[in-house]
This record gives sequence, structure tokens and C-alpha cells, in this order.
Amino acid sequence: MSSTFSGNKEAASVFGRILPLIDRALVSNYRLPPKEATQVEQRLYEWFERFCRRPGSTRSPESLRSELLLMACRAGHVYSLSRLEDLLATDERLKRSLSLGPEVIAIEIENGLEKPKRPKPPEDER
Amino acid sequence: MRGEVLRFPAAPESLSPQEGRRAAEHALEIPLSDRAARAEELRLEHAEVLLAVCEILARNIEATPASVAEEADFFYRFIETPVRRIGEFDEREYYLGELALLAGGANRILFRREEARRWFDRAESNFVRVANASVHFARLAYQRLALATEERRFDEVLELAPVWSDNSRRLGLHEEALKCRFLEALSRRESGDIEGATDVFRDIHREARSGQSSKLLASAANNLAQLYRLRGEPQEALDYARQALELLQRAESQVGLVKLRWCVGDILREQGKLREAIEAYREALRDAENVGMRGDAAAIHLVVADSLLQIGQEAQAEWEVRAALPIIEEEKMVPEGFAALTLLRESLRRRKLDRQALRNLHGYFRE
Repeated sequence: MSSTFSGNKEAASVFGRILPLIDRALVSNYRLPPKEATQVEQRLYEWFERFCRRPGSTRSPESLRSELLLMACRAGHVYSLSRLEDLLATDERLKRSLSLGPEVIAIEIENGLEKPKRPKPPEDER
Repeated sequence: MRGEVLRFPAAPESLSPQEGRRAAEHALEIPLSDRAARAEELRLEHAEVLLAVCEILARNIEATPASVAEEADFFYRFIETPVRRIGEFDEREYYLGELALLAGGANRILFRREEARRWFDRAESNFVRVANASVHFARLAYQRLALATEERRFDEVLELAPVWSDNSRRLGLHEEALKCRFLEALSRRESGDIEGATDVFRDIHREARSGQSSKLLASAANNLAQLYRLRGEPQEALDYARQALELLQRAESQVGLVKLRWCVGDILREQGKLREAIEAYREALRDAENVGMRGDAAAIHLVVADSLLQIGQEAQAEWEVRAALPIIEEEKMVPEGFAALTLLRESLRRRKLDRQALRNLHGYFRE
């Protein structure tokens, strides 16, 4: 989807970097089918690009990434709620995401971004 | 709970920021009465167009507040009813909040305080549902503090302006932070703390110069001119006034120019140059009337009347008062000056102006 990016280069660059996390959140946490996830991502980009230009938004796009992740989780949350009954019975992770709410999920994802998991050391180094 | 699969609606036609700006400029040229009927052709529901409309209105608020109030009102009502789908996610609420904030700010400049208050409440009710809401609450807080300053609720301003200045700085809103300090300085001045007010304005002047905020620099210079006038230092006052004049003209800030010319009139008057002072007041008056600042226009009429009395031109002074009184009555201004207003009206009826009542009344407009 990067070919559809236009406008503010810095916003596009931040979005591009966060996109794998957004995709993971939408597909894994909220169980969006990949095609629907791509559509939501396109809308999220259009939103974020304008969001960075709002009057009063003097911060850099980089510093607005938490808002981007939160909005992605909100979008996923709304989407999943619409399919609630069919999915909840069988999907524990979705149940957890919906019960914790988009604010908590966004923070979890962002914390994961700031503290990337280290690869496991080989057995003999432990 | 049973839900249908949510279909994300198709995206509207894509517009670049430049295209959005051109579309917004074109839309603003169409008379308000014709605009809603041509909404589709003008792309009034497009988020890119609305963003550009907000930018244009924000830039013009000091030059043409009456028109900005009207335009913001139009776009707010257009988006609000019937409920329209605007942009993505929170954008409908954001534009409603932003347009309400603009309408409130413009009405505040125009002295329409109750309307301004209502618009600020509308802005708040929409911003609460918007991403990064704290930034918009800080911008709203500034407007409310400015209104409190104009209503002479100085204790409130002196308590809250430093808090919001600090909040704004932490949120990265450096201009809002300085503007809150600005209100603190104005309240200090009006509370009689001329020294404290001068110190704060000097800080603002220094910070605005280093931050290259020409609008704030102009306002700080404008206020320093007034403060040095009050301190009895006319030369310093005129130096700052000259600096402010150049900056305000460059920024096309009609509101700032009204205040500055009014201040220059005061300086000249205190130097005993009454005819030049009246000339400066009349320039301020022309600008105030052009911009639609009826409250300021009424107050300047009274100051001109007072100056005319000083040079013995009673008949002309009477006409100035006659021009001011209907505005004061229509706009229900200075309720605290009711007694002075009554005395003045009575003296006008007797065709012998009560100078003390006149002075008391125009004193209520001073900020």
C-alpha cells in the first residue's frame, strides 16, 4: 500500500514505520481479514496525514505516533464489535482485546515497539 | 448482541492539500445564501477542503472577525445538520470543534460575549471526542481566559493563566503558552501592577523575537507602548508603538492596529497634542468600524468626545456621544457602567455633556 502514499513526507515515513504494528494489531488483535485491514490502513493514513496538519498540532508526526496507534486500535475495536457474536465464542485473544479496550491495547503495542524483544541467547550462554 | 459486518465506506475523491486549498478559496467566494445548494460541486464535505477553510479563517480572524464569525457559523451548521460523514474517524467532531472555536474567537473579538461563550461550549463538546484532545482543550482554555480578561475577572486569569501557560508549553504549544502569559500581563496591568505587567511583557517580547513569532512580537510591542505611556515614559512608548505599527501592518492585523492607534492617541493626548490625538483616535475609529469592532468603536467615540470637550468643541463632542450610545445600548455593554451611562444620556438630553460621566463610561472599556 505504500504506493498510494502522498502528501506530507514525514507523516508518510512515520506511518510506513508503524504500519507493520498497525497491521498486526488489526489482523491479530482484532481479527480483521487482510483485505479489510488494508482498507482500514489506507483510511488511517489519510486521517494521519491530515491529523498532522491540524491547527494547533505543532508536534512532529513522529511524536504523534501514539495517537495513530490508538486510532488504529479504535478502528479495529469498532470493526470487531460488529462481528462480536460469531467470533467471541471461539477467540480468546479477540475477547481479551475487546475487554481491555483500544487504549490499553495501543499502549501494549507501543511498549512492544519501544522495547523490542531480544533474540534468545544460545543455551550455553545462560 | 448481534452485529452486522461493518462495511467501511468507499473513500471520497482524493484531493491534495493544494487542491483542497484552491477548493476552499473558491467555496469562500460563493455567497453564503448559494453555498449549501452547491455543496457537492464545491466539495464542502471533503475533509481536505474543510481543513483549508479552517486555516484560511484562522489566518483572517484578526483582520475580518465579522466575516470569520459568519463563515465559521455556516460551516459548523452545514456539517452538524443533517449529520454528514466527514473524512475519517474523528474528523467530523474535529471540524465541528475547530469551527466552533473559530466562531467563538471571532465573536469574542466582536464583543459578543454570550455568543462567544456558547461557541466555546460547542467546541468543547466536540473536542472531547477527538484524538489528541488535550491540545485543543489548551487552545480553548486560552480563549476562555481571554474572555475572562475582557470581562475583567482578573483574579481568575491571574490564577489560571500561568497554569495553562505551563500546560501549553508541555504540550508543545509554545505560541499558546506565550499568549496565556500575555493575558497574565494584561490582568496585572489592569490590577494596577504596572511593574509586574511590564516585566512579563518584556519576557514575551524577548521570547517572541527569538521564536520569530511576529504576531506576538507586535502585540507585545503594542502593550509595552501602552505600559510605558502609563509609566510616564512617552519616548519609550512611542518607540515601541513605531515597532508595533510596522509589524501589525505587515501582519495585516486590523484588530491590533485599532488598539495601537488608540494607544498612540492616548500618548499624544497626554503630551497635550490634542488635535493630533483626535486624528489618531479617528483613524482607530475608522479601522474599528471597518473590522466590525462595535464595542471598540463606541469606546473610541467617547474618548474622541472627551478630547473634543477639552478643546472646547462641545457641539462636535455631542455628536460623538450620540454615535456611541446606541451601540452601547444595543450590545448591552458595560452593565457595570450603567450609572455613568444614565448620567451621560441625561446630560445629552439637557445638551450639556457631563464630562465626569463621559470619563467614567469610557473608563469601563479600557483593558
